[in-house]
Parts: sequence; structure tokens; C-alpha cells
Amino acid sequence: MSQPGPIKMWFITWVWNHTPTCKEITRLASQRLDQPLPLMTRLRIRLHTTICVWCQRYLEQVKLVHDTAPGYVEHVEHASGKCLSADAKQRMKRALSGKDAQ
Amino acid sequence: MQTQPSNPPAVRLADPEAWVDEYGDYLFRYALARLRDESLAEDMVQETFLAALKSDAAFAGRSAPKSWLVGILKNKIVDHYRKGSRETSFTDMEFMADEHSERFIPDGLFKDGWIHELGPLEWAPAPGAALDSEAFWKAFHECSGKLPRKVARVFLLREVDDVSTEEICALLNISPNHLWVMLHRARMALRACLEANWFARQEGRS
Repeated sequence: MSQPGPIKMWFITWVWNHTPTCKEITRLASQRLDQPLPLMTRLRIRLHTTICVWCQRYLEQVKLVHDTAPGYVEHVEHASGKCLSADAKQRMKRALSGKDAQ
Repeated sequence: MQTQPSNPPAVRLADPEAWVDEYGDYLFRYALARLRDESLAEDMVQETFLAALKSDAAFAGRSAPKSWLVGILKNKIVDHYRKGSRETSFTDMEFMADEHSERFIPDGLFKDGWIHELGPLEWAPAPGAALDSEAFWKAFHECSGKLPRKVARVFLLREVDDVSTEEICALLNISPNHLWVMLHRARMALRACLEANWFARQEGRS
């Protein structure tokens, strides 16, 4: 990667000074998934991403995980190797048939 | 589009004991991911079956007993959270104190910017394809399993079960601010863990 020229460097510095820090962006990236952010904040985030590919990725990736996560309910079945013990299954069947008889 | 009349469920109400073989392990895994306690998870699954049996009228006409059962189980787990939400374990506090600060520039003009080498990697070219795979869900399972108990609880309620932040605050008796911090840390940790254990590995880095 080559060093940016003076004009580009000036732009990067200007944007940096007028937008939240990357650390702050990570906090906002989470918050925006739970509640709408004020317009100005959204614009500042947008501006920040013009100079920062890492925050751009961060924002995208936490959103991606957020959107995908509900599928875990289905997939936990294959993601985990844990099983009920034979004992536990027997116990449950007894409990179920007991209730049934009442 | 015309839908076919759905087939009768493979496991019928007449035979609740067959539920145990058919859905027992699935429900157990679901419960275990949220409770991290095998005997407690067993109890919850058993209670779920018993509650299902009691209200089997509500089941009539449903073609997806699995999602019906997991819905009952989810409520049981939430009730359990509600009963005992006071404790904060040491690992939780340790985790909350860690801001992943080592990934950010400590001082100078660009203080709190990403250290470039430690910033998020590109997940392209086809994250969509990756997200569907069994390996992704294994990584998701392992990574969320590494979160401290209470943080994981909040994370799964919010991200997986899509419970609103207001409800979670009321349920666990925590302040909105505390919840936001927990969610922020959880998302940050999970993203980094997925990147290290799945997305990066996919590109042949191991």
C-alpha cells in the first residue's frame, strides 16, 4: 500500500476529526441493532466509513451475525453432539405415561 | 401457489412417549446451550414434555410439533431466568472489563482507531454461502459457548430469540445501559471469534 498524498491525507484527518473514533463506532454498531440512531449519528458513521474499511467491515459483520443468528434455533441440533442419556429418556417416558394414565 | 395438505405428523399425540425419542435430543441441546447445566437442561425438557401433554388440545391441527415444543421450552427457560437473575459471576466481570483495547491505537492523532493488522478482515467473497453451512453453526455454537454465562444469556435472547431490549431488561432486572454494554461486548467477542475460527480458516489460514 502506498502512502496517501497530501490532499488525501488532509481529507482523512478532517474526517477523522469530525466523526466518532473506531472504538466508538463499534459501540454504535451494536446500538443501532437495538434502536434507531439519530440521523446525525448515522451520517457521521457513514462519513467515517469513507476513510475506514475496518469499521465498514465491522458494521457489516455484526449486522450479518445479527441477521443470521435466529437460525441457531434450528441448527443447534447439528452444532452440538450432546444427547440425553438413556436413563433420562426412560425417566421422561415414565413421567409421560404416568400423566397419561391419570 | 397451492399447498399440499400437510402429512400427518410422524409422531402423533396418541404416543407422547415417542416424543422423547423424536425430539428429546434436540430440545436438550437447545436447553443446554442456554443453561449450561445438563441436569437442569434435562429437567426443563421433561417439564416441557409434561406441559405439552397437559395442553395437547393446543397442539391439535399443528403440523410442526417441533417448533411447538421448542416454544414451550423457551418459555420455561425464560421463567427460570426470571427466578434467579441476581448473580454476576467473576468471569462476567472480567469479560466486561476487557474492551478489546489491544486492537485499538493507544495514543496519538489516531487514538482509538483500529490497529490495521488487527482490524476486521474481509469476510468476502461469499459470506452468504458460508453462513448456511454446518461448519458455520458449529463455530457459532462454540463461540457463543465461550461467552460468560450471563452475557451469553443476554446475547442469545436478543440475537437468536429476538426478544426486545426492554423485555430483557425487565426479565433479568438489569438497566438498559448495562444491557447495551453486555450486548456490545458480546457482539464484538463473537465477531472476533467467528473470524478466527471460521471465516479466516476458510481462506486457508489456520
